Amino acid sequence: MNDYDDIDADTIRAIRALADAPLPLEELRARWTREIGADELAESIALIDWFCRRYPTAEERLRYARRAYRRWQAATPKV
Amino acid sequence: MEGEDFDEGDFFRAIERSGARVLLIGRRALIAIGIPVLTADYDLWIPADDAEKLNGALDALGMIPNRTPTEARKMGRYVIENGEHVDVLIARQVSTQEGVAVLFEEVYARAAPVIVAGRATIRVPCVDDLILTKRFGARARDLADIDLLRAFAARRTHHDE
Repeated sequence: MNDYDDIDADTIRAIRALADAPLPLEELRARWTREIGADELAESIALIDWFCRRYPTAEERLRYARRAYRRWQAATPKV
Repeated sequence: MEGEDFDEGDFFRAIERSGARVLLIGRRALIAIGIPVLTADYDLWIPADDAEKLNGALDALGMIPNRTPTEARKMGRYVIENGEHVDVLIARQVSTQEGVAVLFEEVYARAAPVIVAGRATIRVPCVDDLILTKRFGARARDLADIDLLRAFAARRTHHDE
């Protein structure tokens, strides 16, 4: 039993369709021009720094990403 | 070819040897440059004339296109798959959601070769161009990726100071 087991297939499809739809232009423009807050920026840079330190080459990063995706896929509903 | 059987080195080497002009875009490109995101697919962008070369090279790995090159050119995209899923954008230019035309030739000229699996290289657009390609789809996750790309660019400045 995991967190997804009580969500029906139609709901999961609807969520995925929503996630795949382009956002309204106004929302896009607002997002693209927004100033990224100092805390958010520092957090993102720290994450990227960690990733590049832990996996210094593109080959290592891509290999890690394939492993991470397989782990994620194993824990996600198949719809 | 699925899962454990897929050899990313063979895949990228086949692309490199194909002679096709290929850009790695999408989240796999973000990962290659150093941004930790999750993805299932490979996203490639090729000019209209290079589909036959790319398809021929990946056919040797049992990877099959879902459209003929002529159909793909009309649609502007197609999929190559066999367990792995490769989304191919096939167009001389693509517009962002707000109508900015992005030309393959210009993005390709600015792209840098990146050594990926099995010592193969593939061209990855510069950060500004990756941001533009993320504006093609402009879904919520693309916006999140744009924020990460902006952080990646800021990180360079930050480390250079």
